[in-house]
Amino acid sequence: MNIKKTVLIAFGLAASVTGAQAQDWPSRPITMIVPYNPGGTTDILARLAAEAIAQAVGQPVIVENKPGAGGVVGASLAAQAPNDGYTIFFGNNATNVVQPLINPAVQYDPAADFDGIATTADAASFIGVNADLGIETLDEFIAWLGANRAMYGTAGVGSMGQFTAELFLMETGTEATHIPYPGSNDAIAAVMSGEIAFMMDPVVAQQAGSGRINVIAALTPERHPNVPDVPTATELGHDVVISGWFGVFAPDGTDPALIAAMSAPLQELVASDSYRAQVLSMGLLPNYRDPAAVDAVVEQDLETFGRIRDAAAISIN
Amino acid sequence: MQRVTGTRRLVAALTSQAGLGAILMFVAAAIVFSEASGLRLGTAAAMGPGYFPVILATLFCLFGVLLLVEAWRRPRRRIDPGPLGPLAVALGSIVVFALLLRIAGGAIAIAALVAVAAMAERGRSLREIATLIVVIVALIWLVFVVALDLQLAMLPPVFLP
Amino acid sequence: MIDNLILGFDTALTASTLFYCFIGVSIGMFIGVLPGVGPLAAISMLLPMTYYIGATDALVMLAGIYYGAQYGGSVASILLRLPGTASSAVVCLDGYEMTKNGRAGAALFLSAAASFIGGSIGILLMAALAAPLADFALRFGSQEYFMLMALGLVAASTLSEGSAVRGLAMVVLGVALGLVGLDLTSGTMRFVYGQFELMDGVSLVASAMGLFGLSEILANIGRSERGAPTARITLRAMMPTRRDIRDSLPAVLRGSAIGSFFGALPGTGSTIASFFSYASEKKLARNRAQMGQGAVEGVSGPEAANNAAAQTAFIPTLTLGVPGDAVMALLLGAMIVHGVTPGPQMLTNTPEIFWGLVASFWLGNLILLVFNIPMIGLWVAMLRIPYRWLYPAILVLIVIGTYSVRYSLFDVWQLLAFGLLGYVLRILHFPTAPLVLGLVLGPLMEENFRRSLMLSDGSFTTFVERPISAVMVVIVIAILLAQIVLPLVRVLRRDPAKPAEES
Repeated sequence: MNIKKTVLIAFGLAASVTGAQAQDWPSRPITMIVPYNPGGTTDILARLAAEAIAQAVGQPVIVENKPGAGGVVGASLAAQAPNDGYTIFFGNNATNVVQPLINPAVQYDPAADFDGIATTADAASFIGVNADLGIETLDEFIAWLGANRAMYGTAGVGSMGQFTAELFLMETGTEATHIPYPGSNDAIAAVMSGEIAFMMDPVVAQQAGSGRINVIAALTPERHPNVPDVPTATELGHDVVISGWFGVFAPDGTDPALIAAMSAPLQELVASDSYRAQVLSMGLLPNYRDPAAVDAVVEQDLETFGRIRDAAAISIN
Repeated sequence: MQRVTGTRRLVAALTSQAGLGAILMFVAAAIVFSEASGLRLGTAAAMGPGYFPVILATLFCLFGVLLLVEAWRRPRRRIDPGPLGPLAVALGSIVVFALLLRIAGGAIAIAALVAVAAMAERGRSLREIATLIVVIVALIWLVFVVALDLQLAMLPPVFLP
Repeated sequence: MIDNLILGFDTALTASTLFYCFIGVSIGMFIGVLPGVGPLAAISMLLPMTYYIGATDALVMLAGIYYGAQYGGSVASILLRLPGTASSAVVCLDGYEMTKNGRAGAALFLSAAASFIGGSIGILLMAALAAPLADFALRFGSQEYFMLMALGLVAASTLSEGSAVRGLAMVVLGVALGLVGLDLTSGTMRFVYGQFELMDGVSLVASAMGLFGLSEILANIGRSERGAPTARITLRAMMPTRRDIRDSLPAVLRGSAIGSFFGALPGTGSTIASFFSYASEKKLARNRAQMGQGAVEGVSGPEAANNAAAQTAFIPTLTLGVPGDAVMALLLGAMIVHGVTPGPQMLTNTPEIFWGLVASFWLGNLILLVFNIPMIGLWVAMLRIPYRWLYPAILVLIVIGTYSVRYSLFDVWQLLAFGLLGYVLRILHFPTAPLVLGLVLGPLMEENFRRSLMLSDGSFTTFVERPISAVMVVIVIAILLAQIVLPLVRVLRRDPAKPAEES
């Protein structure tokens, strides 16, 4: 299979020498940079997207994992890549919104250096509270937060979990102390053991019904099909909706026709039953956004998350 | 045991095994201190990122002093750096690999590594080196590229735009 | 439990499951032998293919890669002083010495047998006590983790030959190198100097391979007739003696206990377990005086420990739904994709998968043992290749292995730096094993220490207020007094006029 890959690349190179024009795009394989290790959520989604694009455009889409520094390494490479439609990037709201906001070492501008192609899924966050506290509903939780010195866990400074919790605390006028852990799984173990009181993260959903953690609300626009019994915060009268997303980007200035050609197969992919089933089983929500909508969600999230960052003084330096 | 005193003993102590070890400790302490000086110390309840480095740098100083004591007592334990030529060649072979991998591809980079590393031993024929290169490149290709599907381009990517 | 095990073996012994188990452990063994390439890469590569096979078969295969890698990891450690996996780095110390003494075969045999016993004990604990062990693991909060790491670092000073001062100095150097990167608690970059690649910290693979494997080559190269292991292999040298087995057995049991404990604890695992086992053998082994010079306990203890840990690591993943490391997180993801929900409900909802996995683990270990013994002859025959041909190949293997972890040339430069550092430390007679342990434990120690104080609002008494933590405080103080302060006082009091004894 790799001999094949090599040969394909060789053919592609020969073609590129003769001059690549938009009309004969793609005349050689497309590279998709994934800024995380193979096997993780982003990587799995990226490979599904790569396959869909490859089938539609008739050239292989080769996934290249460039992990490091919370995705910044891969995103930096992609931002500097030529905008000829042969290098695309599978990012998420960490690489294209949060890191540029909080990490001064980030050199790229998420709005100016990337053009959105499509999003393929959203992450759904839930509020999980240690079961021994006996808190069953959102109102009880907010009342309890007002009366106690609470601590919440996250996957680190500047993680989605911290932004989510800080937004929730801001909107409900409550307070809690942030305790960072190396990852979501370490934090959820700490909620289970009672070291900390709660966390707001997608992994919480897996603990629904475990008896150790009460999942009291979803922070999504609608209920998640995996845990239909868990109400959304909006239903309960607290308008806290925040979610991460995953999607494909091209370096700034890529021909809009090429972007449209790669976006269309992703729209079909997200609509397909098998994709929906798989993405739901991963605890995510399938969600396609067209190129304009991707750019809009980046702009809008930069504003929202920037506001949370300033209010909660979140930064890494 | 002849008694050596004064400056000669000090020089001997500092260039002994323990003496050089002490110098290593003080260098480490200096590096850690200089970085920690720019970091917040914080309080016990909210310890800053500089707290641990300062403790570690202090420990380095302590070990440095202990090693100096040892050096003063045993200035005769010399170091044996071994042959430096082959050492430089071995390190150089890795440098050559790192410089070549992205511009010339895996096969050429590995071949260069093997060729340079082979120079560390005298009396090799060209044929021996060529055989080594072919065998090793083939093995790496089979194991890492064919079997494990790693992202290791063996061919030169020079034509890429 | 008997009924459950019958159910488990019923599942695991079907032809297809057995086949996937075999495939999994073979791949695991293979990638374990290769330095740098870990189970994470292999599992993520095979994960998409498993969507087309049944849930049990898929999980059995992917899990097989995980624990199979532990078996393979020690091979390169013993033969070439090249840690195949970080968890077998400590096996280099005595395993490679045994090879230099012409006893590579015996070392490999003991390593395979110890791995099997360690793995089996881990599996047995998982079958009998999964739920209580998981509950126990949850009682370890930040304070207990901190004390555990402190215990490990104090014990590490005893890890190598020579003075405690040099051992401790290397522990501290390791902890200092562990500071590099993003500080988890405050979100501050430390010692990064503008390099993106350093934000995730110093590479453990590059450091272990540089300090052990590369520095060994640097020390041997150009002196072909020296250092490199010669192959005078007789049949007798292939097999461990009766005495080896007698000496190893207690080490294997101790290692299994240590490994089972650390495996069940999320966030720690086989690497930490193998170091703790080595440190305890240093004190308890019958041949403790020979530790570091080819003592059998230095191979069999840590090997039992890392394999036991690889099995009990499934306990928090399966019973709590909380994976203890990155590979387990990947396996958890695979389970969810296959519609299996790990957690307390797994035993009631899908008992055939839980018990099928348990049974397959044991069958996988059996396959690995049967697989490994005949391989010993082959591995040892490799040592007959003259060193002048072998070392360029080893160099390439080290470099490619390091590079492939995250396709980073920066890691190759790190490897180079660590190789040079290892060489300098060797000349200065500093032990390198404590450095690697410091690098592994340091970040955990700092993070848990600072978190403990955040949780207690700055009160240091938090460490003695919790029972498990308090017990460990007492142990650490006792070790510090006995191991470090007393000898230090003795050294400082010693009359410099008297001839100093060599260590």
